[in-house]
Amino acid sequence: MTPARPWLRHWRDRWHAANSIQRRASQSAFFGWGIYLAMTVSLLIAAISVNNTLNFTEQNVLFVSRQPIFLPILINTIITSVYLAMVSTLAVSSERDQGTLETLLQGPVDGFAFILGNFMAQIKVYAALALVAFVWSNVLTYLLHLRYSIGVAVVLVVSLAAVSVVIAFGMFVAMWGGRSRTALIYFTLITLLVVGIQLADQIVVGVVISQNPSVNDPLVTVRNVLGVANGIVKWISPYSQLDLAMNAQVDRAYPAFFTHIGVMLGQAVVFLLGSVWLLERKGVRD
Amino acid sequence: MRPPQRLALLLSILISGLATAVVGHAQTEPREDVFVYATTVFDGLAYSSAMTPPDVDTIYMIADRQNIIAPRRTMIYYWPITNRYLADWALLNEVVDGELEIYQGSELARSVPLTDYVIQYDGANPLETLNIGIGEEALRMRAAFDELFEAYRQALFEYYDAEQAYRAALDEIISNSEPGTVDPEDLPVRPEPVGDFSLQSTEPNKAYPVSLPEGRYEILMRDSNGIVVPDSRRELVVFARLQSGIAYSIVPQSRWTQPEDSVFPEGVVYVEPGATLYLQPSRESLFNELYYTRMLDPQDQTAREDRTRWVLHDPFPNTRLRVTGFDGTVREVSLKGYFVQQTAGSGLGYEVLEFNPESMDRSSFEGFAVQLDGQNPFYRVELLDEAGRLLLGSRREIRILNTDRGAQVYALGLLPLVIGAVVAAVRRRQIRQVDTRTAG
Amino acid sequence: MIETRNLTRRFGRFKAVDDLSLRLEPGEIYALLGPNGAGKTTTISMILGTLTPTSGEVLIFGKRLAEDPFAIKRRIGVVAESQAFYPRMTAWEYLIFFAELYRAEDGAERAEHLLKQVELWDWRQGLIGQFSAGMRRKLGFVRGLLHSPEVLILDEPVANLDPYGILQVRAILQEERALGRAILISSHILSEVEQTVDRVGIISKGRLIIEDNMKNLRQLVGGQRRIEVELVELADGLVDFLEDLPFVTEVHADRTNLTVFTLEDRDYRSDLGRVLSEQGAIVQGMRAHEASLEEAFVTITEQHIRQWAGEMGHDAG
Repeated sequence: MTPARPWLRHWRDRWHAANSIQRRASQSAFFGWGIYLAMTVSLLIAAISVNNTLNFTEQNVLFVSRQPIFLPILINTIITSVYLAMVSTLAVSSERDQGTLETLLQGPVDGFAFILGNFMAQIKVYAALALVAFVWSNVLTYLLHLRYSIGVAVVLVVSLAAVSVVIAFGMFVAMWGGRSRTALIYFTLITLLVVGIQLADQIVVGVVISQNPSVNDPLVTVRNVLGVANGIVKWISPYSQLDLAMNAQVDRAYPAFFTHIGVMLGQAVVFLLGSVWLLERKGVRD
Repeated sequence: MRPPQRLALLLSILISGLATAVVGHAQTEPREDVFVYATTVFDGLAYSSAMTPPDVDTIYMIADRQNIIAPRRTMIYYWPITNRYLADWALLNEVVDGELEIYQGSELARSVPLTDYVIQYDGANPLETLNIGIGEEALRMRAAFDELFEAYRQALFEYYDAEQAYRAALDEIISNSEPGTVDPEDLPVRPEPVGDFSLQSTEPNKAYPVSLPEGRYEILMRDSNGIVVPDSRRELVVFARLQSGIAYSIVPQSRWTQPEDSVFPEGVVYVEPGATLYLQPSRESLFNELYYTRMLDPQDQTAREDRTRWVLHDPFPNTRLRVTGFDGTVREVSLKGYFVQQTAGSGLGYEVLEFNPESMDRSSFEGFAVQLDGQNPFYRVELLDEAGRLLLGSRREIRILNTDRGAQVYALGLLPLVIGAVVAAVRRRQIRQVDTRTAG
Repeated sequence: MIETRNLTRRFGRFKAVDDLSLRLEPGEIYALLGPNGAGKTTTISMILGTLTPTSGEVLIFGKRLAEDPFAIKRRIGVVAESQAFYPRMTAWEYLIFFAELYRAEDGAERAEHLLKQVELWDWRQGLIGQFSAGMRRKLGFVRGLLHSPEVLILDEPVANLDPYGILQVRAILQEERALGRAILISSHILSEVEQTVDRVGIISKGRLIIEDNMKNLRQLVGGQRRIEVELVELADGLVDFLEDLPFVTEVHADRTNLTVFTLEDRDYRSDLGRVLSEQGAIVQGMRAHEASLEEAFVTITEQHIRQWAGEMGHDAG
């Protein structure tokens, strides 16, 4: 590999290369069935959440909520972003496996342009999916007489930050894992670990609430330990950051809102730079 | 003994036995003589009491309000039914002497001596009349209360005497007169009954009155020799209200026992078409969930510091509810009482009627009635004060949710597949199938 | 245009390329030959910058790659041995992508021209995933030339091609050479290389053991010429007579066929023909046979292996 060099030089060439790669990769994504199936699945699952709300209202006559469409949007965001992250993991590691990465790097492309181009492609695809989600949410709002809110558009725009992290993380894992299957396993395990901690914390909190234990109960110690782990995960997990940003936006707590967006963007940058570093260190072949 | 009597006896023995077992169980839980802080804290509306046992290291209170921290020795025991340590005040309730030192960081913020205090309020309107007296004022307040109470007792005795005299006089007139011959003007005047004495007051007691600005502190007690009283160190978290607003408890007519709270300002209430709602507005305050919950229950382990909690306070008197429909129609609704009348006979069901004091004992609840007709998809409700001014934070939207559109919601989820099919068709037209036999 | 100076690459203790210096000039076709594992691909990777040299340097257009990697790489065309494609792209989309990447002027026109030359124009809207190996090889070739590079690096350019395809590629290479391109070829199909190259470098065990034009290589290997003669009848004593001739080094007879080895300094066919005629032999056919590139390659590398084995104290086998 070409030795490390100041990344600020040749930025025009790098940007051109990234753009070309982005166009190719996003076109490939749009022409495949994957994103449409993933989006359909996520909207159907989000629809279950919406229907639960409708059923609840029917049974209980009323339902009090600030933004009932937020949860379905969050569900949609999580599912599509995880799908895109896995796709980007596979796409990047497949380019290595099948040799197209070497072909690109033999040409006027460097690691930074390659990573950035693939990243931009997935973001572009997500932006298109977010547009579909926006249309879906607006049609739903009209159909069900929900309140229109600019907040939905804000959430979808902010979700770009969360999705950036997930996609950048997927690419980092791809560079770290090397082979497609290894990368996918790493990605799945780490995601399950993060989700597992959050789920365990919620379960234990639920148990604590139901049992109302005393201060010396061992369950409280378990809750506290998981709470610390979950507290760390909250700063790592882009979905937690997105949730916090959404709440801050509804509460009009704008400093917190922009802080959470900044955290997400910072995480994305770290993972992207890490991907480039790993690519330059490992080279195009195992 | 006949069978029913035998059964009654058996049941009474059983119930007594159980009750005794419970009480006895409490009595037999091991007691421990410990130092505790008994707190009387302002909870945003009134005052609440709590006990902080040795295992709890933090006391919470609201900022810039008079709160009471009382150092006591008592016998505590673990009550497994509620998973709480309870204090057996009847067994031991000893004031611990000393001075309370309040530190912020390493700096002594203030030193508070033990002081007399009383809490007084009028039971007819406790929220408006609650008052804490400290020091000399506490003794004065208690003395004034004692005087008032004594005057009430005197008035009561005089009334009883007057009532007795009246009855005696009435009996005499009746017994000495023929029926229908008594002139009403000759009848004695019945004495006016004395009203209830609704004032309440605690006895003067010794404690530390504490009112602090928001922040984190450490407290400890030092005895007259300057030695720190064992187990007296605690952290003290003084927190402020994060936000205030107006909340509504919403009682749906068809499920009146299951109201929902709308606490978020500018929130939305989604309802079934044709519903009738009764809105009960009240003041609300937003607090940190952990701080507020542990202020009232220091041993609680369920609350979380990263969450907030709306606390509903007193209702709004003298307000009207303005209801504006989507079509622009405006009406104003007054607060009324409502009575829930159960359906007679064996059938289930009830009817919500406007309260009529002449024919009904007391109202089941009060509220502003909002009937949602089929004309408008949504309504806006706001509270107006006596002068007709809008109360900030009282606005809510009530929207009629189309709950019968479930199938359409699912159908909408297939939109991406439709887009995908179009894209696939376009792509297929762009591509030429390769026949490698002829392609070379 | 391309120059390597004392280029070395180690993988641990193993030296894949050892002090290799070569130079590629405009308007020439240079073949880099060597047995498997000789270091050809490693050398090419270092030239292209996908592998860092342990020592030495590579200059392309007089500059190090790191000085201006994007601009330099835009002037290089690469056709690798193992071609990698995007199977769900059409050939046309694939070429336009690379034309854009390389900022090729008139990329579409050039793609059309090249596709027609290799007879893939009718299949430009086909998915690459459905292409045969030969079609992919051609497509890769077109991609390498799409941006009119000044330097072409080709690794096995005619593998998987039928004879007609090989002819097409050869024609294009000669066209490019005529335009002044510098072309570096690495290939195992020596007969094809022999027909197109100007210079040959033979690499073995990481070292460039020889570098010269075809004529000199043959001379180096052969030292003598071989003339195949077909007679009507082989008279007794003719072989002995021929062996006594001053320009003849060796004669082999096989019934009526003679293999006559002469000196290498010139073509002795006319002299031989006159002598045979004077001896009454009737010649049905005569053919001069030069040492092929394959023979040169095998001979040189075997010599190098023996020499290397001798240096290392091994049995060369």
